[in-house]
Amino acid sequence: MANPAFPVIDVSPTKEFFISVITRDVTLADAINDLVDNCIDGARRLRPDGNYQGLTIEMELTDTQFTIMDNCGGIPYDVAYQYAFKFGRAAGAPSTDGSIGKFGVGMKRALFKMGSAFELQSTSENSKFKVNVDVEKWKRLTDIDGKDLWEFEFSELTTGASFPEDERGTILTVYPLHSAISEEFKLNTFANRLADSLQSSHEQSMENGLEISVNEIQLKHRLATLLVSDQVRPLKISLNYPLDPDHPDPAKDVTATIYAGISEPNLAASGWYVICNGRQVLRSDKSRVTGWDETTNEVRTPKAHYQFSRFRGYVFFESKDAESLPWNTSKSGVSSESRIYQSAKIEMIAAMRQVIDFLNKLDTESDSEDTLLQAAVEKSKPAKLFSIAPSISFVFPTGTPTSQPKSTRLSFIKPVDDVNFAKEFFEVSTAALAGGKAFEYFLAREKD
Amino acid sequence: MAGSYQRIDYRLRPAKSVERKMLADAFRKLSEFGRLDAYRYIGFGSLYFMDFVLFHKLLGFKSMVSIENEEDATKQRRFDYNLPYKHVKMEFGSSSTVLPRLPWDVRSIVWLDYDGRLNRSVLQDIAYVVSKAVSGSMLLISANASLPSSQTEDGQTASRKPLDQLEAQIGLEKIPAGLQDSDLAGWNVAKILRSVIDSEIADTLVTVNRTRSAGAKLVYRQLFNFHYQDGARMLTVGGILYDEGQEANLAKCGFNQLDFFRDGDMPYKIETPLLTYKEMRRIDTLIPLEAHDFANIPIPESEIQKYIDFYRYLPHFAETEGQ
Repeated sequence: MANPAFPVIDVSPTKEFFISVITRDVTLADAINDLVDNCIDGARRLRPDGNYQGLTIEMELTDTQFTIMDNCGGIPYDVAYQYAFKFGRAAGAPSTDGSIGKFGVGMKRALFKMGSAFELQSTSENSKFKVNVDVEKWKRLTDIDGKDLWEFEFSELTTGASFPEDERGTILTVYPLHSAISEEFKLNTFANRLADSLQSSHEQSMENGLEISVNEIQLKHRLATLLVSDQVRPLKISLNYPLDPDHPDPAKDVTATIYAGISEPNLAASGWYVICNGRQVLRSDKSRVTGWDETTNEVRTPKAHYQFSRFRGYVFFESKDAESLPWNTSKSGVSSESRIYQSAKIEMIAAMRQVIDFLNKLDTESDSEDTLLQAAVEKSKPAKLFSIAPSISFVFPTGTPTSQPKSTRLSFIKPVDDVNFAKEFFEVSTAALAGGKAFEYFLAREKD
Repeated sequence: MAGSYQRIDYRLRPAKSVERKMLADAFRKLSEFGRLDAYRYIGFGSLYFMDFVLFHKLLGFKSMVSIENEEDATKQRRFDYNLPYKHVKMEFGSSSTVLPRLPWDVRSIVWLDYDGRLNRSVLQDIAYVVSKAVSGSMLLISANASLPSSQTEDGQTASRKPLDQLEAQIGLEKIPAGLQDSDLAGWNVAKILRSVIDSEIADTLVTVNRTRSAGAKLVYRQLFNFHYQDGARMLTVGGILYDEGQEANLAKCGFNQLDFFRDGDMPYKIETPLLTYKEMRRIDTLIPLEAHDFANIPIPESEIQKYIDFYRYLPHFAETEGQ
């Protein structure tokens, strides 16, 4: 028991430590992506029907400042006052069903990561405000007893007004930038990398009409497809997982929809994609996280698994409660220890093995004179995932006679002197030809 | 392994035959969990369907699925031709691709009777069945319990150590900690493989049970751990999967009354005797044998003992059909 006569030990974090911890393990692109997530959650509040036509998110990266601007409904005053700036998610914070920003760390982490001061200006239906923070000053901000103050201040505030929809939105500016960030922003490669990351993360939102641009270049999106025909049909299964089976709560249930099939041969694009509430967190994964490694390494061959370059798997996790989803806080991967993810992974592996089995057969067929599977692949056309019908198996033509390969390769390694002797004997110029001749020599004598 | 039916006549394997009959004895006890004839049997029937015929005759299974890794339609016809009953349905393809195609809402007995070695694909099959099984289901795994010879034919590639070989088959993370090359010899390989299979089942159950509520958690109890050798050293390990709330049903089954019940590391060895029919008939007339009987028969005591252990299950081979 604590003795009230003794002094208490102050264990509150220093702000320096706090900032260092939250910014350390997030990449710059992931941090910016988090800001975009917040904009999209605004769009979700503004347009619950999911039609984002006319909504835009624009980013501008220069060597002096970063700006992100959207017209996605703005942040209401009470949300800003009570929750939006709070580190961590407060109990009782209002939630947007199916939202993607839920950890209560994304925005602050991105701001601290990028610069030493920022300004956030937002107009919503009934309010308008501005918050300016000089991070260096904020770090030193204390109360009269010298205790750290964990507060931001409004520099402008209007409430109880009414703003038309086209005026609603948020502008966030980080200025000045940390020098390392400024260096990154100078590079074209960074803007490209960011655009690439945003494109793959938000395909679904862009498909719904949202426009995203980086330095005035509008991002393109291409919704995932799988090849479909009468003979080739992707696997599609849906599963429902309670978050905590001992305390069922439908609002926290997670559904997983798994697709596995084939697409164009592209080794870089092949693998698993994991999407949580429309936000892609894993892209063309070929690691143990998705079971790819164990499944494709069944036979260890020096061959670079090119035969699997057509494989595509997609897992969509959806939940009203974003915190139930199996993603990490920087949304750059899955939380592989999640019970829900592990359960889904067993199904993913079973799904993947069906497609890998097909691809192995396709590979074997290419060494024979058959063209059945190849023809079936060529006849199939890309179909968007949502148009694909449920199927517990990956369907492809089976049960037809397969002819064995007519020829196979054999090679020898023999002492150079002996090989030269054989080359002279057979009067050929290369070791390979000598090998072939030697084999023919053997056949002519031993085979009836 | 595809095409093994072309090399092995499954009818001439006495230890396997004994094992099948013992398993039938055990399966009969499952009636505490549900009607036996409503169970589905999934196996690898080959061309002979020995297990299918036996289990149908003794237990009345009506829903039976035989998995055969044969994709060639001309060859598939031969399996269809040999189907013993219309109750048996062929599913062609590797077990890893067939298992996910089956419905899993029925109590099942799944015998993954591989004749090859344990590998990643086998472990994934095990995990899949465990994740899908309904309470009262049985899972059995048979596999070759030897490692490939460390000698290579041409002597050019470095010989592979047993531990490296096992790692190549199942992956480093599945190998019990502290295992040495010297542990992987003789029947000890089977012991190690049993523990690998046991861990795979346990790991999968942890995952499965995270999505099940208290009282509905799935439990695995090992019932069998056979070692036998008709040619290669073989291991059959397996047991029952049931909801923890059905512990009482399991107790009523009384699996532990079976001589061959093994719930741990200790194997039950099936070693069939080599005896003439005359010798067998002689021993039969003396059953139950008393100590002094052994000296009165001119047969090694060890062979007599094997006969007494297995005579209820031994197959009798005879030449028939014209020879």
